[in-house]
Amino acid sequence: MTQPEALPPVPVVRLVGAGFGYEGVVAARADLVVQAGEVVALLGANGSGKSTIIKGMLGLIDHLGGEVEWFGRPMASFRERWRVGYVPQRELAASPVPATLDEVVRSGRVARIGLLGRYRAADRRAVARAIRTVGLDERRRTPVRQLSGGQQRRALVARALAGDAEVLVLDEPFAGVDHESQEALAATFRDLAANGVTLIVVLHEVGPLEGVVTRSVCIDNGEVLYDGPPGQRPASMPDDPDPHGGHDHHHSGDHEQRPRLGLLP
Amino acid sequence: MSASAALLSIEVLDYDFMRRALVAAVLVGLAAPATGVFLVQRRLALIGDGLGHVAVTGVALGLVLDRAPVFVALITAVIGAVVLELIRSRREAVAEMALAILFYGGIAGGVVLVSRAPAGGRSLNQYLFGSITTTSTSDLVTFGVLAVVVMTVTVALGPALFTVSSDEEFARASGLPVVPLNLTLAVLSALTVVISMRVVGVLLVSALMVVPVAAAQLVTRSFRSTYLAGILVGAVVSVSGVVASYYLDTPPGGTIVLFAIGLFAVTLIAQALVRALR
Ligand SMILES: Nc1ncnc2c1ncn2[C@@H]1O[C@H](COP(=O)(O)OP(=O)(O)OP(=O)(O)O)[C@@H](O)[C@H]1O
Ligand SMILES: [Mg+2]
Repeated sequence: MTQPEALPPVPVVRLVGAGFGYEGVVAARADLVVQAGEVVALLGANGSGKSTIIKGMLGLIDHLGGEVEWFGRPMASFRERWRVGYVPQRELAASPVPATLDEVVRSGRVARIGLLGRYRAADRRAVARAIRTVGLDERRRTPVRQLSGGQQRRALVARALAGDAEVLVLDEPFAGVDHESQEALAATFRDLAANGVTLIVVLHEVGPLEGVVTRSVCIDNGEVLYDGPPGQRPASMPDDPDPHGGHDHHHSGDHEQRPRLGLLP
Repeated sequence: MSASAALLSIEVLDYDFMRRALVAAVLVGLAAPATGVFLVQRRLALIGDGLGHVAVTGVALGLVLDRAPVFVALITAVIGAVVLELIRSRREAVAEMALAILFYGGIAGGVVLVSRAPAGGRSLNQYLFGSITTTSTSDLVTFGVLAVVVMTVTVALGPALFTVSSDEEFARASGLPVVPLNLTLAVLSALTVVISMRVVGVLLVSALMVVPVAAAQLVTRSFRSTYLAGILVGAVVSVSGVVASYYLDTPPGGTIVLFAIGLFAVTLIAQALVRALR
């Protein structure tokens, strides 16, 4: 841990020896404490356990030992879910019944309005703002099944933004998103961070969030291998910095050479 | 409304049993797609069939015990729906198998049980194929209550049900009570199945839940408009099916469903024509 020892405030999220997995089998175990205002990049090769940790801390998969606390409360009794926004790694879930982008993004406010609530003017404004932020303004009334893959990824980001959460947990928010939209999203995340929003972001390269990330956490083989300030490596890093995984490390080939953060500092 | 249509409906309304049938048609026509739209979104469109089959066992049990068959069917369908949902929430992988077992177990149980019933199998027919024209006033009260429950719950829980049936993982991340919401939808489906059973028959229950939604989504772009158009289509085809069956002397249940499918087909063709002409 590189956090200063001066009595920290209640962390946003605190994992202590927290094990997560599928069907009772542990796939990743992590110790991680994130304070308000941090921008934490989770890095690691395919299959290293980044998504497992993310989903585990949100209570979406099996919690197998250890502790998970949100804002000082054990996950099981944490009710203020509107404080946390989530962007999954996948595309938008298919909608067999037509649903407009507006309707899907609006569901990002469902934690705020509660079980029997209705969407009100403030909700509609937040939704409009979120959709504008991801640059899909003219697609608001489009059925989501007519959106391209990258547009669907942006819709997922908009859904999380719409909730006006204090913490955003983002699983590869840039994957499949074109360069221009990446820049726009990065600018949004920069603004959010500047306004004190805590970001926990799974990334394959820090690229678009260069200078925004305050800390990087490298995952390998289901364990935290490094946790500290984002070290920088020149673009001449070896292609696969992961010594264990024989998995294909995915690159988006159309990026110009940006300084890349190595998996190992 | 044209003069002849007015005459037709007036003649239909001369008979008490037809008046009750039409009210039943409206109630069921509204309620079935209101549930169906969420089932389609959850990719559980055929669950209505499974629950219908379970309801058959309930009807048979009711006949054997000489208790109100609709009431016993309601209980068995709700139990079936809850069990199915609990299996699905624990082990997604076996859910389809569980649905299949429900299907066959329901029918088999019904057939065996009904052979023990005093009146034999005859009265089971009205549940298998529907018998809207034998709707009694007390049936109407039951249908009315159930329809109001279904519509109220789907509207009141609309945002939550939409979220959970569109993206269960995100619903869980949002802190929605996912399992209770899914159970609610399962129970609504059971209620809908049981009220639809008397109108179109167990064999066509799912059709009334799904086909109006299928027809509506041909022309709609949003979930909300699909819900509204779906219940409108449901009510219109149910009423027109009942009226037509009176004049054509056909079984109302089958006629209603054929009307719904006809509307679907006509919309599809009209759409293709419009596209071709553009
Ligand atoms: N649904 C699942 N059931 C069983 N095992 C899983 C499941 N999802 C992931 N795993 C396993 O857990 C491990 C970690 O996977 P995870 O999805 O967390 O990787 P990741 O770091 O997010 O990779 P990527 O960069 O490809 O997204 C892998 O070995 C994977 O096979
Ligand atoms: Mg992942």
